[in-house]
Amino acid sequence: MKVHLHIWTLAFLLIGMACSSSDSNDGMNTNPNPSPNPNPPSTDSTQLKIVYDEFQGSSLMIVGSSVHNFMLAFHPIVDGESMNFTAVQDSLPIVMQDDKGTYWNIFGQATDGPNQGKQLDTPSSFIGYWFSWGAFYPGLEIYNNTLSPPNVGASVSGSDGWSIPRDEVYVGAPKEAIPSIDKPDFVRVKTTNVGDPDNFVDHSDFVVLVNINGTIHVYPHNILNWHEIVNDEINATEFALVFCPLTGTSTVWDRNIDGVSSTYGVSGFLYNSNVVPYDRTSGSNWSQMLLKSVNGSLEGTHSKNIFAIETTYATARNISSDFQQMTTDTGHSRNYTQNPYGNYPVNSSIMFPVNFDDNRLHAKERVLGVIINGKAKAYRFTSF
Amino acid sequence: MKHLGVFSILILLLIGQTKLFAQACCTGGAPISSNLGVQNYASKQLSIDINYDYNSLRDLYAASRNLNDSRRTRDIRTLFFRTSYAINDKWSFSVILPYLWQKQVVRSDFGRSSQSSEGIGDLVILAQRDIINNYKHQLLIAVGPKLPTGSISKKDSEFGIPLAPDMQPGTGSLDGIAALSYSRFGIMTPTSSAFALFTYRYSFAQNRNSGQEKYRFGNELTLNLGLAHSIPLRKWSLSPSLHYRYRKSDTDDNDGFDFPNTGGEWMYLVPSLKLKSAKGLTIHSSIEIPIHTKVTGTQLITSKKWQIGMTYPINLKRDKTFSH
Repeated sequence: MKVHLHIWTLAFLLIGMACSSSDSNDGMNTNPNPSPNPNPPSTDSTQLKIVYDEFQGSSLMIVGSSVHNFMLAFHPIVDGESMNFTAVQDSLPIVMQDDKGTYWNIFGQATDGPNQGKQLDTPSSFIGYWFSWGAFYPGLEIYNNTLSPPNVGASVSGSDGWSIPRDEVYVGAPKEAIPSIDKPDFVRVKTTNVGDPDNFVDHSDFVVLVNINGTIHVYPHNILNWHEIVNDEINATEFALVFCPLTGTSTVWDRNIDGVSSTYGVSGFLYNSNVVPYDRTSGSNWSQMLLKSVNGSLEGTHSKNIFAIETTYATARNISSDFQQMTTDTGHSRNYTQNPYGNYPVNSSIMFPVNFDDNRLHAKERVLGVIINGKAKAYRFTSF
Repeated sequence: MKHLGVFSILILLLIGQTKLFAQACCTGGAPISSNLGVQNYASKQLSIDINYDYNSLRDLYAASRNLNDSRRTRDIRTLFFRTSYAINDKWSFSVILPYLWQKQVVRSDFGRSSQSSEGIGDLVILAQRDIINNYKHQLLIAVGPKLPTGSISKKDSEFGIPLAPDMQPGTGSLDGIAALSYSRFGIMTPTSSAFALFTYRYSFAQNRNSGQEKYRFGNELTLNLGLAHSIPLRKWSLSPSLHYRYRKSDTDDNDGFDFPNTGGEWMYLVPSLKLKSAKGLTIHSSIEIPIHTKVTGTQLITSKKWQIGMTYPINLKRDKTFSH
């Protein structure tokens, strides 16, 4: 009897110890410092706003809406002449009207009026988590924000055959372990039809839109989270959509590099927690957020960027009533209703080291970064 | 002496074989938890055990669903050297030193890429005490640290960039390990026994990525429940056994946040065979058959795992017959 009591007491003690320790790590909501909403909405009830600004000697016009969840940067110049634009509400894809009465859509195209057929120029710009902008562009200015920026004037140097510090490059996964999509499949979605198509994308989910000569492809983040790169083509324009789930950044690059058609793959490297694509023709490694090759024979070559919009699926359906949506028929078996990074998009964790920390904003606040002359400026949804 | 010869040949064969392959593990470091056999040692006995463990990861799982994605594979081969010494009838000490070979391969339409590493893993020291040891019951308890002796700075051969933590031979962390083993002899037949082994690993945080992050591997527990039977053969005895293994690993923690795609629950059936000579040499082998998997997020999991090893006891007690 005594022997058995001994056994059970010891067993319970050990098991109890194990359970109490393991319980504390269960589940996804164990953040000891719960974070505020990283993407506070604007308090302004106007749905769409235009902000004018000057940056690096360039005139900028940021068109944005916290209601519709997009921010886009344009140069407000038509045929060399600065123009004034006013926001047009509730008329997507039309977002503004110039002072000559021309209506312009969200892609920066004049659709009706004296300037019809014209196209606004766009600076390099895309939305990403705040921490990544602070890491790549130390001390960057935030529009309408008076907080003193840290790390002003700080910079890094390349090393060991890289134009970035090689010691700050990390292996996140083996090369091609995250499979790019090279033969994307699309389904035509006509939102004028009664009812919704059978769809795995919620209206609040993020998508990326690419419009080439009126043909619009829509790429759900649900799929991009698992593949990071889509090598696609619209009307003979070959491009790669590069998406980094860790920095929340989407860029679209022309796949024609120095006259040679290539595709991009996921190298598995991360720099400042941001994806490092590689082009499969030269094997060169690229930095998505620096928009250039950082290692290999193409080092220093800049990406040729194609305009893209990141917004919600609901807004995408307001922008276009007839588009091609990428399907889950990717050639790979994945659970596309699940984010492989859990609640990473809303917590304040950063999975890999970054060169510079900037705590002026929540790490995961989505901001629009505009890059001119190698400098960046951030725009927040609270301005819209 | 004859046994020493057999032992040496097996060691050479195992080492030779491992050079033909290479390996890798999902949580970094050697698979200690399934190689923590706790057993009774005779007083003043030195026991030398060498064990070769092969772990092949070929199945990509999302929670409990096999994604049938064969693009990515990992192989982990580990040679465990274990030396145990019993200072008296109650207390014994063990030192376990693993050496790992790891390799992971990705096959895609654009070729084959691979990463590999090898090296000494984390050293485990266990202090073991017999709580009960009689003809019917045996209860043993073992505790000790796992020391961060394994390298965590192995680099990618093409670019010289440090490999991911799960490809390093060591974990870089100091862990605490506890094990409790209970055996009940003479169930059903005099040579049959039932056994239970519970192990627990508590991980402490370590600095990762040049000290910029605090990373903590998830705590891990295993529970083994099984039956064994011993069949006497001429100068040997053969002991087949079958046990159920449950393993639970918590999610890793990175700077206070759960690290995605780590942790989960696994269940295995483990048939094993032990051949023991009258002089004490033991040859043992087992295979692990996965029967249930539920991982957090998406993970590459064990498809097959087997091990083979030998234990050779050396009695250091002075034999009074010869000393006088």
